[in-house]
Amino acid sequence: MNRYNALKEPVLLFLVGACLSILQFVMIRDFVTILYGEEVVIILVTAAFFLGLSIGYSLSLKFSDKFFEIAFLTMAFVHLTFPFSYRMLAVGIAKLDLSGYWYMSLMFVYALIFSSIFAVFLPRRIHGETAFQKMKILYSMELIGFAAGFAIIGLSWNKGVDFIIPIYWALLAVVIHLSLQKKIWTMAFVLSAVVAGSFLTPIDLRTTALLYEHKHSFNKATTLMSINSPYQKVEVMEDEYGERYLYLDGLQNLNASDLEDLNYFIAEVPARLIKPTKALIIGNGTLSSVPKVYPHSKFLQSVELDAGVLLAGEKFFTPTQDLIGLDRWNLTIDDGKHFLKTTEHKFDLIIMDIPSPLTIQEAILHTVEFYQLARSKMTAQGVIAVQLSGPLQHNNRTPAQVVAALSKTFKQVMVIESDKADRSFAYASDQLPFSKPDVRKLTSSYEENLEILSPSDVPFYLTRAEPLALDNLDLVLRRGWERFTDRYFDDD
Amino acid sequence: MIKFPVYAFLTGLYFSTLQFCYLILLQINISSAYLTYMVITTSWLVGSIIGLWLKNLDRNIGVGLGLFCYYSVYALVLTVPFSSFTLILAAFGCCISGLWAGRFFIFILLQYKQVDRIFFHENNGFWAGIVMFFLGFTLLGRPFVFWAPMILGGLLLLKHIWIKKNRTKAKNSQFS
Repeated sequence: MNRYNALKEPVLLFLVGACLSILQFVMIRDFVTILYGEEVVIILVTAAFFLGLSIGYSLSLKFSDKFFEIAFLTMAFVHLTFPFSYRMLAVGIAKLDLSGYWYMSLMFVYALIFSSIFAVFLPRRIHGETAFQKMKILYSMELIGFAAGFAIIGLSWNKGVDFIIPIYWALLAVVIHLSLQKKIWTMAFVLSAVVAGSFLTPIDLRTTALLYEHKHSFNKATTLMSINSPYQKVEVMEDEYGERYLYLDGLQNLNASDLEDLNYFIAEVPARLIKPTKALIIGNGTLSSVPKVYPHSKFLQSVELDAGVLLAGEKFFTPTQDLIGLDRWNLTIDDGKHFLKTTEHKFDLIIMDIPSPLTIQEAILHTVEFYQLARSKMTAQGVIAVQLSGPLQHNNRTPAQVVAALSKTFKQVMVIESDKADRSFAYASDQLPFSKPDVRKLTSSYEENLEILSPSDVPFYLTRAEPLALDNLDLVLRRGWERFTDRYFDDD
Repeated sequence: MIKFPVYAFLTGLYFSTLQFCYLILLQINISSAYLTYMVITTSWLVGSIIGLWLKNLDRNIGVGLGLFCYYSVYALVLTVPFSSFTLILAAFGCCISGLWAGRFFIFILLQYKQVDRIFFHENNGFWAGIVMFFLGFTLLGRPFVFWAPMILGGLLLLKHIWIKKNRTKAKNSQFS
């Protein structure tokens, strides 16, 4: 009995640490997806989670044991409604077209529900003459638990939230048992968890679809895939016409029809014009540009960081048979920067098929420093192809800043503006191996009125643009904030 | 009266800034793969746990050692980013920097006694640090990663001198 009591508190704090770690992951991933994953949103949600902890700490010694027990039990049962309750509330806010303050309130209220209750455990147990010893033992156990939660999160990569939430509920059931010592409540919680768990997968898929119907304005949405990769939430949605969309942290990465145009301009056009000996595709998790480039190159290397996006691509965007027998093609799962720094190859064509610079990590791949690295791994007439996320204009917005970064690194930059693809593309090199008429000739049958800016036309657009660089990433803040406020606080 | 809430807040700010600076340093110079994040977080946690049990880690040495390791890792990733030992040495440096993140709670508990307040102020500093890092890095870039840990570490060391002075004063007034 004594041994049980001696072990009870350390085990309890270990479990509290594990629960906190898992909850931090679930909350940040789910709320970032609900609110759309620019870096500004990621920081806001993370700060909200820690604010919830602070409130928990500040209230931890204010209440009686009885009140704490009731509050904890109530919160624990609310946790059984994850992820249904907050997603449905977000759907409700979208449906009623309420202002952004409602979303913010939802996030902060749920931050309290997610984290504050677990912050109460440690301070309530450290007091009296043994406070120092208890601090050492119990805080150590909480930190070890946090690390164990981290390992559990690792097991959930490329699986849905329906994998990790039942594990969390099981840990929570033990926390309830150890902290309250009331079998009836433990049993009630376990039974409720079993019932909730049996509906978790359909609930996860349906609430995801409802979010896309009401928040992303789909008429009818079907969730084909919703997984958490090590880097982001990867979701594949299908609309009423059977069109498929890939979303990363709630931001649309591509849809099946756009993909054709995107691949044509970013991959097929330069590959046809250059006929590269060695070509490199960075990003393009769907692998959809591989069959477009492969016939024109002697060796093709793909580098993608996120195995979750590869999984989505393989299942829903690029039929496996398109990639069978491509013996001159190689796929490496790695960070593009790391690959370029460590490869011994030099490439005639580098295709940068990566998302717009809305997070720090994405923005780093559009900087002068990154392009200098790419240039060091390119042949004398090597070309880098980049998508610009919008039309190039005479301003200091994303396309102009990316082209300015390219212009600072390479001697020649050609920009094409496609109405069909609804964006611009840049081809940069120290010595472009093709000219404006070559591009016109090749693309005229695909898009007749394609606007092509030759290298001599481009500087005119860049007089106001500051090149994106490691020391100049304010675009992530500026654009993220602008998108966030436009989405939630602009009445027009 | 010694303003321990400010000290705890500043310490939380320093911890999160240092952790995120380690992370971005490795992400820029080595890799953004998940392994980098895992290495930093796990090493920091291990350092904190060890720190909780270290009896002789003085507050100045704790902060100073953290800064020394950070700038050593800074120099290391700039000079030999792809040596097979770089990530291991960076993990070791991060672990050493994390020692004070554990020991701090024992040190401040001796002075301040109120556990809930300690965690409250330290955690406030931690989340303020997350926001500050994002703003600092996007607006200033690498100069922020270089200067912020040094400035915050310096402020903490100044605060330590002030704590010592106040303690001596309090002791003297007790005897008189």
